[in-house]
Amino acid sequence: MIIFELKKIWRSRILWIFLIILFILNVYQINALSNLAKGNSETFNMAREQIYSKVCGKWSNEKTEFIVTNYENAAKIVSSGAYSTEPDQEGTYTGYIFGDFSLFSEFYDEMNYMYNYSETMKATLDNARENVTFFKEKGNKYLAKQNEQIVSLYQNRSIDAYYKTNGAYSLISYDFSSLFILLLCIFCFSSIFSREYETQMYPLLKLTTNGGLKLASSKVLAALISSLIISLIFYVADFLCFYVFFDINCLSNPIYSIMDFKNTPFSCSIGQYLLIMLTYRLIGIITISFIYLLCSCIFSDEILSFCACIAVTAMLVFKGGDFNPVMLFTIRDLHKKYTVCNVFKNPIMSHIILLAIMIIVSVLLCIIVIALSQRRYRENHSLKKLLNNWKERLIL
Amino acid sequence: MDLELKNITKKYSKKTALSDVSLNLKNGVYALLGPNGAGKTTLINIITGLLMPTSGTVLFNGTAIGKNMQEYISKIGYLPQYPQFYKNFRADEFLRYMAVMKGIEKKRIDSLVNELIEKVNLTNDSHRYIGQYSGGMRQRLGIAQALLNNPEILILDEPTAGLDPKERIRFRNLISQLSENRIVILATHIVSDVESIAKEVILLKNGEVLQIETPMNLISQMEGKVHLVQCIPEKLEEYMNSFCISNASVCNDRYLLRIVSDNPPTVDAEITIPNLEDAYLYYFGELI
Repeated sequence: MIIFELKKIWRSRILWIFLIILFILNVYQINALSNLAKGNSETFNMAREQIYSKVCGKWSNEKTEFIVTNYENAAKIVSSGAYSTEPDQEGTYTGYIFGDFSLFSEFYDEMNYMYNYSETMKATLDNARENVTFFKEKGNKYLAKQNEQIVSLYQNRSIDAYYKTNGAYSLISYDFSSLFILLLCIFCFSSIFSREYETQMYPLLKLTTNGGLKLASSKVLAALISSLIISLIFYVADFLCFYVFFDINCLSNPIYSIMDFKNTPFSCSIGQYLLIMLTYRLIGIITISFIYLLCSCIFSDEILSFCACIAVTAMLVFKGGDFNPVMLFTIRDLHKKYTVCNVFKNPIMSHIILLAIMIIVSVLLCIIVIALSQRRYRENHSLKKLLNNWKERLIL
Repeated sequence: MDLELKNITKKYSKKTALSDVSLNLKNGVYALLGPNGAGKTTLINIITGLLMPTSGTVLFNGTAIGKNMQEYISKIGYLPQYPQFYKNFRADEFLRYMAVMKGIEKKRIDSLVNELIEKVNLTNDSHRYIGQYSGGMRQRLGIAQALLNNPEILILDEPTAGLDPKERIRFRNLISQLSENRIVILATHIVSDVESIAKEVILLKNGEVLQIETPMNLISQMEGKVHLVQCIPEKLEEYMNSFCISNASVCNDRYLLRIVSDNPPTVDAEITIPNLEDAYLYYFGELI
């Protein structure tokens, strides 16, 4: 039965056209972003690549000295003001000294951050250890636990190699494809139940032995599978496009090697973090898909159901509040810092609570959708009929 | 096989869709005749269990249908009005889908689908998409899906709407074949479709049963009530506004009107042999 329900969803020419157009748009957008990141100067980009190939990989004194020396030299010249602005100067990488200064500043800041990360964290850890002792003495178990958690999460951290992380960060920050996924999900799922009324299939299906719980469960599973397929198409495409266009090679580096993730509670690699983020996003998509299924269940008219889904999406995106599934698409903001909630005097990470809430909401929505779809008889409240009813009431 | 409706009433907030309808149906074809809004679809929905009556009960073989709904619906085959089905499904695929929905054993499905496709004469078109089907082909497909579970009660709601005369004759013949060991309920307002095949005609108007009679009895009730009148073209409109006319044809620069009326409409009116359409007009009073 699930296969038939999948056929109902995927045997739509308009869906495939939509999917291909959005896919191409997505790739185009990523390419545009990479061109923007690279900037206009080919000489600058070549110089960047040349230096990067010299210094990337595991730390060595040679590499750090190369960057520090060139950075300091360029800084000295620039601060003295005695430099030429003519292009193609000899002894420079970019063709002019100010360009070299910008370039080496970039490398210097990144490498300085990564190289000294352990030391930076040491101060935080020492404070946390002191706090543990302090709060234990004061009898404040919750804060003691919180600081113990900080110690366990942030200890033994180091960045052993230097790789550029801007490409990976751009991938992590990229939300465009999530919007496309939502649009496709609206298109696929807003009519999953309402279609049966429009095609007069509703009474036929209700008069079959499997037209109750089994049918509803098949529809829900088909929607789940379809949402995962659509999501994976786009998210895998995102990864591949970013990997190629941004030349990402930092996947084995820890996630905290990205400056914005300095205080992240995660100690996994960037590659592993991408998988974690993917999981969060998929759960967000599933939760929102169940909302679309609910709209389809409530409205027996395809157009009304579609409009309701658009309205709900707009509301979630623009006025969603703290606990809404759209937050799972931008979960990186929660992952960048250590934020916890007090749950029965235990510090639980906010992102875990959000995830748990969304999973519970998904399960509840699933139950509601299946229960609602078990109603025996529904009149086909088509948009035309509803409008005529309102018109009659107004006239009366 | 016995389907009994006892004092079925269905009320909505401002309207009574059905009022105290009682029927006792056994094997054979029953025509449910009535104009739009008479309550035919409401009655069908109550018989199928899709709609709960406000009062009254539906009994099948002496048992209320609500007691074992799953078993009851497994005995029903239903064709709704204006079925669209799924345009992106092929016909044979759709029948396989409905067979799965009806819980038919997997190993039987293929042979059953092929048999039914042949029965409704869709063999050459079974691999085409339903979106490419004409109205008549969709109706035939609808009948095929209704027969998948070999139902004891076959309910067809306006099954000949949109069919050409050839297809309507084919349909009538098919229904006659199917009615042998079944209760077949045909809801329609096309009288000619049921005149020759219905065992009994149920006349439904404004939610009430006016008559339950064999077609022959209904026609014989109309003896002396159907008149032929000639009129000049200038008088046509006057006659149309004053009498119930079942047919108007041109005859030698005049109109020959077939008028349904208790009393002769004019002095020179000729009584003629009535048919079921005249009976329909007599009870439902629809003017052309």
